[in-house]
Amino acid sequence: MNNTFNFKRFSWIFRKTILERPVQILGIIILNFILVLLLYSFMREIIGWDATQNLTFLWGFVFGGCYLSAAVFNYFSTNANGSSYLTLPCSALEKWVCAILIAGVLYTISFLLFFKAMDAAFVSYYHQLLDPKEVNYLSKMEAVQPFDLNGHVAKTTYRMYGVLVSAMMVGSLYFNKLSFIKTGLIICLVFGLLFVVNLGVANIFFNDVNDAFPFSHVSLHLPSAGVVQESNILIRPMNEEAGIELPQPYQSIFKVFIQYVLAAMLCVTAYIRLREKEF
Amino acid sequence: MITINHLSFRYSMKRELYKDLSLSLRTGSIYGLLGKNGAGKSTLLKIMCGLLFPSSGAVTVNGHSPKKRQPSFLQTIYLIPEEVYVPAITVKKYISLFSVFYPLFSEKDFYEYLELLEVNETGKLNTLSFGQQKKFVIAFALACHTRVLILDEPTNGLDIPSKVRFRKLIASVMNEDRLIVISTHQIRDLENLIDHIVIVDEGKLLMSASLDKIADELIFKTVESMPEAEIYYAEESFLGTSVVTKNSFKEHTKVNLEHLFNAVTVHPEITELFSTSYSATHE
Repeated sequence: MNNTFNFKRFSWIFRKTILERPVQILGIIILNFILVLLLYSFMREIIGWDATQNLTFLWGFVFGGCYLSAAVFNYFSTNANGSSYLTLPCSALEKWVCAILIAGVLYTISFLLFFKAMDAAFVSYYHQLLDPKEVNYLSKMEAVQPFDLNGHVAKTTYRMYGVLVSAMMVGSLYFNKLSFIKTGLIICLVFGLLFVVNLGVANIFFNDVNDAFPFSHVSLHLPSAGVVQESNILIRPMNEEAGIELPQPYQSIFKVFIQYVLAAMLCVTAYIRLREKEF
Repeated sequence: MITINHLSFRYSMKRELYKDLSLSLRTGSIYGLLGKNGAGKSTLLKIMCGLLFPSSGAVTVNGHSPKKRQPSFLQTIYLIPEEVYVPAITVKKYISLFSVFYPLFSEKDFYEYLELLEVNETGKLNTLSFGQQKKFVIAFALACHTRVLILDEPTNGLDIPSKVRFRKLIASVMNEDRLIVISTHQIRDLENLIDHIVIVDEGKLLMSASLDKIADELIFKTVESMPEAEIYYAEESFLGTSVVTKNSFKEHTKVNLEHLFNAVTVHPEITELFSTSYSATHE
């Protein structure tokens, strides 16, 4: 018998995971879709199309994914449930792949399809409502476009998703109860700490730091005209800002690290933790 | 067969629960695992199932290392914890989702056991009472026909008729290829069921002996006046004084598990009487 991975056993655990708690797994997905739909419907009038698209994509994808990834290993809140899960005749690898498939792949595909369809429907409806005889018809038409799933916001969201979902998975294997909240707090704490340390380091090297994002950029208040008196030329208006960004190769390294290496490290940690989990 | 060699286990650095515990449980027997609250009975059962890992020492169950939690091992062992888990699905759905993992599962036997234990099959499992849920899990576990069956406080939550049916059922499914370990506080629920007693206390194995051996070495009876033989345990009762004494004249009395437990915990030196079987099980 193959004790590491058997496709038949994997199909059983996958089926069991989905159908044993359909409300918890499918319910989270559907509830999240409804929330995204409602947010999208109501926020456009308040914050505009672009911001609504960005917000709902970020919220729906990352928050829904995180909640789902915390749910796929949510067996350890009771002794009976945890014992039943760990003693189920399946390898740790099969259980782990099942969780990755649900939270990482299936949710991603279903959310992207849902968001694409919803966004296209809303945008198309908006375009239909526009009057072609209107003077600024074209500019209004161009101002509202479907959300670009390959755009900057989408790519940043994918990066966040990879890291946060894997972190949630690890957290749900470390914390038996309220894992979603506890892991969320730890993520916020780590990020806050990184941000403060990064800002502190940036302040050591530069004056007038506006903000600094860990491993990404430092934004500075540029010297105003009053400060550049030596040349006696006003080269910039007051309060202008400029960013110091990592050189391109390093920025790529950072992006690859966040999107792939860090996410992969966290996923592997989840597997090791599951294999070594005592309950 | 379950073999535990020089097992040490600790939950934290400060508190060591088991230290150098060795024990051997043979296939074809029903073992009763007894101990005071916090003695580590559930911990020992969890170690046997691979839910907890020893700090040192080795545990093997039918040649498998439980710690690895390999599917080939897990499909030969079933743990029924004190609190059972049933999802919000029907009996049929439960069978279709869970039975596939156990190659020897028999649906026919399962429904027989459900009927014997008088479990209501209609509706979702989570709507059943705690006792019904427990009986459902017991029926499922028995129908899986695993070589090792581990039950932690199985009679907790069962009504009196169900306890009787549970005993009958366990006795009926027992065979030479099976090993059953039952941990309980309710010692009377094990009477006429187990054939071997294991008592743990303060992280140590106090005794491991067959009921036959115990009956050979000790007498359990109620007397009006105290006998001259060395008394290991005495308890006043309505009918007289129940005593546990040494069986010097090879009388045969029924083993009173409760009195035995009290006698052994108060006078651990009694276990020396079973040293033959004790050493035999350690070989």
